[in-house]
Parts: sequence; C-alpha cells; structure tokens
Amino acid sequence: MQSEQVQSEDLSPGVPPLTTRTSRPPRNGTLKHLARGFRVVEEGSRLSPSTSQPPRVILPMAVIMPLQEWEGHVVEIGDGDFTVSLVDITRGDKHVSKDAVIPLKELSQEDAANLSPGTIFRWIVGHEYSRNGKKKTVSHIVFRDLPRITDEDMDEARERAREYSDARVRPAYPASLLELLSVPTLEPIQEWVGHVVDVGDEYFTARLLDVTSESDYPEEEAEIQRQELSPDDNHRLALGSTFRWIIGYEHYRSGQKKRISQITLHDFQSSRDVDRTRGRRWAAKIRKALT
Amino acid sequence: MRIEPRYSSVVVSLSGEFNHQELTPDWFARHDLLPRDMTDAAEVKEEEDGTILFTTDWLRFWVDSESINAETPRAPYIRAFDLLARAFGEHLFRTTFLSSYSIRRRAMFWPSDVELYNRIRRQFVFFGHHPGMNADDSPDSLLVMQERQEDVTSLHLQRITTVPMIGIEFCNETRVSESTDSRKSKDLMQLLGQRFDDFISHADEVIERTMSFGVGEED
Repeated sequence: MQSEQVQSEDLSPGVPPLTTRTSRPPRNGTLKHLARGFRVVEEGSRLSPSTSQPPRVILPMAVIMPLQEWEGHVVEIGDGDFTVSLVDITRGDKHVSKDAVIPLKELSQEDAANLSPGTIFRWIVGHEYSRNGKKKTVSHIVFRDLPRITDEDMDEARERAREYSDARVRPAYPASLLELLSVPTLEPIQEWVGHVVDVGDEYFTARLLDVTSESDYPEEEAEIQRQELSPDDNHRLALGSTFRWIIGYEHYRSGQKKRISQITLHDFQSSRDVDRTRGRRWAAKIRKALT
Repeated sequence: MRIEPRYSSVVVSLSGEFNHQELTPDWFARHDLLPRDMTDAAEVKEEEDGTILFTTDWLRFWVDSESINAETPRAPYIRAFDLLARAFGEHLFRTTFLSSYSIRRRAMFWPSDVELYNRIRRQFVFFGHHPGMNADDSPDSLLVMQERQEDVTSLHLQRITTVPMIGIEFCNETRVSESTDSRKSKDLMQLLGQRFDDFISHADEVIERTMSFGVGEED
C-alpha cells in the first residue's frame, strides 16, 4: 500500500507519525468493510464520473447525536396527550423504568392519526449539528417499523411447533425403555410461542403467537407469573427473550395423567441480559454451531 | 470547547449476493417499506460500477451486487436496522445468499488546528482497543482512520487545509456460514437487532470521549 508522511505535522515523541492514505486503508482480518475505503463529498455535490468506489461517506445537511434515548410503547391515548411506558436505552436499562404523558402535538399529524396502544417508538433528545456549524437541541419521536409476521413465518412456526411436539410425544426411544425410565409422554393441548415485552419482579408481559389454533390473529398479550419458569430460565429472562409455552397432559407409565403448563426459553436469548463476555461466548457458540 | 463532529452516522450492511438492480426506491415503496412520498422525493444515482444510491431526509441507501447498505446520520439509528430487517426478513431472505451482517458507527472530526489534532491523536495512542473488545476473535474493533485532505471535495475545504480529518469507525460484523439456511439467517438478524443498542452505546462512549478531547487547559 502506498502512503506518505505529511510534512507539516509536529507530533510528540512516542506518537506514531501521521500518514495519509493514497489508496485504501489498512486491511484488518475482521474488518472486511473497512478495507473498502471511502471518499468524502458534500451532500448535493455531483459525484465525479471517475469515482470507482461508491461514496461511503457523504456529508449530510445535519447530523443528530442523541443525548438521551428511550424506547417506549403507547399505553393509553387521551384527548390531547398519550401515556407511554419507557425503557432508558442510554442507561442500558432492560425494563420499563418510567411512565410519561406526552402531548399529541409532539407528533406529526400522520403519526398522531396512526397512534394506537402498543405502538413501539424511539424518543431521542439530542444535539443537531448543521453543516453551517450551528447546533441546536432537538426532541424527536420516531415510530419503529418492525418486521412483520408473514404467512411464511406462521407456517414455519407451526412446523417447528409440530416438530417439537412430535419429538416430545413420540421420542425415538423404544416404549419399553421409556417405561423403564418412567419418562412421561406429553400430549399438548395448547401451544404458543412468545417474546417478552416487559419484565417485572413477579410477572412478565409477553406477546404470544397461538401455534395450535392456527389463528389468523397474529398476537395477543399476556401477563405471566415468573414462578412459571424454571430457576435457570427465570434468571436469564430479559426483555426480548423468546419462549415456547405448552399446556397439555403428561401420561405416565402407571396410567396416570397430569395436566402441565410448561414455559421454556429459547436458546436465542436476548444479549441485553448478559454481560459482554457472555454475549461473545454465545456468538462464538452460534458461529461454531453454524459452521 | 468540545470538538463537535462534522459527520456522524450508523450504517447497517448486509453482504452477499443481491439482485441489486431490483432494489430501487420504487421497490421499497411497493413493498410498504418506505412511504411512497419519501421514495418519490428520493434523489437516485447510479454509478459506473452499477451501484445504485438514493437519499431521503434521514436515509442514505446504496446497493451493489455484493451488499446493501442503509445509513442514517440522524438518531434514532435503529431505523436503519429496522428497514433492512424488514427488507430481508419479509422479502429477500428466500432469494438472497448472505455472507455477513454488520453495523458500523462512524464519526468524523475536523480539528481546528494542529495542536488540537495532535492532542486527540495522543489520546488515541492510549485508547487501543476498547475494553471488552478483542482484536483477535471479536467482531468488535476500533480503528482510527485518516482521510487525505486532497480527497475532500467540499465547500469547507478552507477550514481544513492544514489539518486532516480524524475519523472513528466501529464495526460489528457477524459472518454467516455458507451452510446457514434462510431461517437461521433470519434468527441471526434478530440476534443482531438485540445487540444493536449495546453496540451503539459502546461506540458512543468513545465518540463522547473524543469530543471531550477538544477541551484544552485554557477551557
């Protein structure tokens, strides 16, 4: 790679000499994207016809950097305001930490018209830096456009549910061995898959997808006692955790049957509830499993 | 005074093989991913190498045969992720081979004088890698980049004639195995979304510290 030193720099001892790139930045094994280099041009200026690389960096009219960011969901809509529950993203919170009442006039007419309970949004208070050097404080609410549950997702969720339940009801062990081990077979009556949207001390709130009735209604919300979870699952429960909830009967060798309700968290737990070290271990395990 | 960024953004990228000619603003509007009035007003450019780029008020989107990229200079940055998560999860995941996902947090500063530039550079010597980031096996890394001033074609060129830019870019990249099926790719996308805020938060800590380097003894 060709590089040259800038003549006019007066760097202190111990500081590596300043160099400038004349082609591409240094390659880094894990940073494939950074090796592509970038050019800087002003927004609105014409791109040079000889530009061989796409303009990876273009100076915008203004940038907004957040000082404070919340994720919230709409709880109730009043005449001139709406009540929300907020999770403090800046502080790294995982749970709702405060409620607030926001005037409807904070929203655009279009957003206000589409407002409904349960809507998820981001609210930032930050600094806007204009290209002309001006700075101002802004407050901005943006409603999130989250991935929607498609028919394919529904089909795959049902297929997964069937696979899980088949595996539980008809395990690949001889019946005699099962009897020896006294392993009960499970007859599911109702199954949901869900994801956690709020976590309290005794309860958590989750959105549930009914995979038994194949209902067209995509989701319902439920408040569930944390004691329904195993101690391990209870420990790693976090906002965004996904789980499977089965209500059914366990059939025992003796002929007895017992009604059960069983909630099991998926392996793809939210990384928000683990520290970074555990997060990296998970990522490494997933990468290993996938390769 | 604190040094303020002239440029700050988050880029979410999917790398792989794409039918990039298809991914026009109209495609996004037809699939209800972006409002029609926004895509109609978007400025669209096609470069010589076939890269298609369009710009809206909060989004800069570019796509070529190897990657699709959504960049936003305006917080909340999660919007860029949500857009690609919907595009991929609802429409592209059946027809697209993915090799990696990445989130990049960028900020650029033009120090007003050489003394300030050197002060910042000196601080970066001690930065090294951010705590908790391992250059060997983690996708998280810190890289300080400099751009040659002659490469800057800007109206503000006069302000930066003697001092080069300092750019900071964090990249969190998740590579996808060739054997990964589309369902797992969607799961990985979900995982990336769950890590988004943590990643941005760590990058912003460094950017915030960089801004504070502008405060000299006289302040």
